[in-house]
Amino acid sequence: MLGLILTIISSLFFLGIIARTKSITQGRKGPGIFQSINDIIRLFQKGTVYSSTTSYIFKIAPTIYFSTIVSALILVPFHGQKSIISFDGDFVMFAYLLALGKFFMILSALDTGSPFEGMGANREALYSMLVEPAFFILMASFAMYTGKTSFHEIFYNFIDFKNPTTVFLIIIAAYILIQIAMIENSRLPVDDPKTHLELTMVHEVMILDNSGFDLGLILYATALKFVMYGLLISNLFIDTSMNVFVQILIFLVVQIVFAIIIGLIESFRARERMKKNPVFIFTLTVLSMMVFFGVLLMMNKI
Amino acid sequence: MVSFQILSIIFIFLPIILLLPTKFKAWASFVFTLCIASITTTEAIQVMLFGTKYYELGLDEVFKIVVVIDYLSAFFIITINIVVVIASFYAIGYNKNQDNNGKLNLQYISFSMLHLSMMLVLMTQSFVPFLIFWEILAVSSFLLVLFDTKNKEVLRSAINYLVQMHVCMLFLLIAFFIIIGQTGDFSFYAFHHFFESNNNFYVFLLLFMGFGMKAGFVPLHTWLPKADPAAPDHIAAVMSGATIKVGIYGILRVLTYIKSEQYEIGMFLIIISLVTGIYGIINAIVQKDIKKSLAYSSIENIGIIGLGLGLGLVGLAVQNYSLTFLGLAGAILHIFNHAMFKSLLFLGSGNIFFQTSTTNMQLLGGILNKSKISGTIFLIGALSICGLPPFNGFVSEFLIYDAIISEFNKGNVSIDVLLLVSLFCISMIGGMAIFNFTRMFGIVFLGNNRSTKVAAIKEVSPLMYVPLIVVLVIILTVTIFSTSYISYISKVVLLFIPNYHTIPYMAISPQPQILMILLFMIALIIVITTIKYYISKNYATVYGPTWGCGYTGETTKMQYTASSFSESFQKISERLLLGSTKYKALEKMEIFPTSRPYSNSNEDILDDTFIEPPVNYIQKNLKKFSIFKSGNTQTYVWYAFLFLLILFVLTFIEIL
Repeated sequence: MLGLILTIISSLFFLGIIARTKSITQGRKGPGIFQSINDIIRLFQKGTVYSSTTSYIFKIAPTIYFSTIVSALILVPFHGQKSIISFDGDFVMFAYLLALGKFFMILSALDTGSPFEGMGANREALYSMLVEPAFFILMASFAMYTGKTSFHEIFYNFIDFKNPTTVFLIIIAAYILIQIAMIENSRLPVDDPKTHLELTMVHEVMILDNSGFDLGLILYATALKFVMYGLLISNLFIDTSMNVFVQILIFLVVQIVFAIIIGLIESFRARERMKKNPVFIFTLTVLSMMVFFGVLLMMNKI
Repeated sequence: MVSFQILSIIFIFLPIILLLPTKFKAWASFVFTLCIASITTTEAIQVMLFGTKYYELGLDEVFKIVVVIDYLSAFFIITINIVVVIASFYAIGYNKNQDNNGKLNLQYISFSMLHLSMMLVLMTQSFVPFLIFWEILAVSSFLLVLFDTKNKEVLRSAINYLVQMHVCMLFLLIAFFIIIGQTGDFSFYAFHHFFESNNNFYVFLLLFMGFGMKAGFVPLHTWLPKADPAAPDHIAAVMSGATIKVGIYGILRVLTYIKSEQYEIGMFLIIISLVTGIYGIINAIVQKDIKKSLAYSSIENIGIIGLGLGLGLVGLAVQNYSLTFLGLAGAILHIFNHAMFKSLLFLGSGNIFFQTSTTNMQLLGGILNKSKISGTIFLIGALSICGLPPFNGFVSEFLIYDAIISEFNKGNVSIDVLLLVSLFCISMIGGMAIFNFTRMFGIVFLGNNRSTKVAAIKEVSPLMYVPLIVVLVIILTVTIFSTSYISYISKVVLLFIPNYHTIPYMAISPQPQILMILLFMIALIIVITTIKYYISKNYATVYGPTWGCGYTGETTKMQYTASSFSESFQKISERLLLGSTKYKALEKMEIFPTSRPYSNSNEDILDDTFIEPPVNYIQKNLKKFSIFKSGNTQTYVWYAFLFLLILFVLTFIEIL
């Protein structure tokens, strides 16, 4: 429960921190950190424009997308505490819930009949297909080491800062999770949310026709998705023996650092070429295979 | 015992269909199907409740029919009956516009024959009757594929199917002869003796080739993507939903007898299934025809089923029975699920064909707005086949995932690596399935229409969507009552596991928690929709054209098409695909270019490299023998005389 409350709180300022970091590096005065959530609230109070081409899929897709992310969030534990619902193999459910949301977003983009949105839908489908194995193999390696298969028990048993190999694996895992979060949320280096041209967008182009309440839902879902991955990453850095307040502190620090990293990356590097994206995403799978073999080494199996 | 006799009486009454007027033929066929189904299902349910049935029907040693219905047969009987009954009811609406009496007679009679033969194959456990029923199955499904006889492509595919089914029969025949020769027993009990005392693997390989060809394992799959698109949609539903499952049944039946070398066989199954799954879905993505894509996706699902079976066998070999349980239960539940959603999708594509008379995705688009019910049904089929919650595909795929991830730290390194590869492949397959079905549904049902065919369509008659709604209800029951489904299926699984009382899985099954999450999600969707409804009351909702970057003209032709959606995927997997583009590029000095045709297509690379060349080679060389075929009666008399002469000479010099 604590995890859920914390994520909702940090989702309020997460996008704001990214924007603020970018404005500082660019030498602008920039908006305050709650501006992003204010924008979303403003969207909730606006009327909606629908394309006359669309069907009911377009109207219901943002709702489903948002609901799947909240349901997936319920499965993620905050360290030391069980998630609200926890069972063996819950990370499979986690991934499939997210996939369900993406399925509907892709369909809603195709529903508009717009050539741009078709392009975005296609890219989103391709990238989420390629990123899937990385997450599964990473979690499976932890499952192999701990002998447990639920999020809660995996993190509970895996984290051990005294063992240098574990620390090394934790760092790689954190890197992989950050990259997965970037791809799932369509950020650099795979996609640039601030690009000007529809032809070069991925996620932004999919939601071109959404407006009002729907757009607000989608944007808030993006924030939640970011924080959800932040929660997963922060689980990697919290030891169970720690005091609850220290845990919350670490959680907040991880979230803020995560947001600042995203802001910095977006300020200083350009998007990869579209052609290179599949290769880049696939590299993550290879990295998580390295974690797998690292775990095999740790268990003295090879 | 009684049921077998009633089935033969039904068989005698089949020709009644010939005498009926066209209007009633379909209903009569449905009644026959219902009779066969109710008799066999009653038997199956009795078996499920009270245990195995066994009886023998007269005749001599060789032709004796040994009827054994155990949990395995009962499960398949129930699954196949559901598919066949639904398809048969669907045919009433689907064939409404057909008036060719001869063709319809042939279709309905072969349909009942196919149904009967599938039932008999599932019930029979002696070699010679089994092969006879197997042959009836092949021939009747051949006749069903051959409905649109005037179409040359259909003719080719049907004959291809017939030939391949006989190749598959040949493998079975050889394997059965080896076993009969070794044991002298004509009932399936011979398997038991044979696999106890002999080298399993080679005979298993023969049996696998036979049954696997029916099931559609790569590289023996090539008939499937040809036969399914050629057949009418309800026939394709039966072929993909039921007939290929008979092949899986054969493999499962053989596996029940195998007691040694399980590790090797399991490994073999896993590897071939992963190849099957990946290859199937890659090819599904690049197809432009809905039915062809669905056929390839059947191949992919056979791969998932095979993966579960392989994991189960490996579990048996290393005596890790929870792996066995999860793997086999996942596979068997996936057989049921695939039968459901694949028939749903094929019948859904039947509705599209009925409305637009095409299944080419490039010509479709925007159907959902005009036919909401069939469109929504197709959407749910697509969601289930991708294994997405809250539908049935997720339940079985979750079991297989669970088998993989929960067994990681229990075995040695080789098993770990095997599981890693399986996990990699199955998650890739899952992602690609989502790619494939968002493409299929998005292009066919959403956006603007891509040709005039879609312009004036109407929703199909209730006769054509009510059966689909029935399947939909079954799909939902699998999610809601997953625990009871799994406990029924565990009865089948326990046939494979010795000392089965040691299985802890049912106690720790996470199905209730999964259901809780799903209920939460659905509740959340309802809440948000309500909030949205009340908020939107206060603000204006406006309809306008899709945003076109400033361009407001016609955007129908600018939409993404099926091939442009798959293009990015095609680029990264081009080595596994055989795409060909027919297009004359513009030359440098061509200042006033004329219009030119452009076409691209994707062929099955395995078909083109492994099946076609040897067939062509054999054909070319066999043609040389045609010089003996003169057509003159005199010459043939001469041949007979020469043959006798040779025989006489050989006996004279005591060679024979």
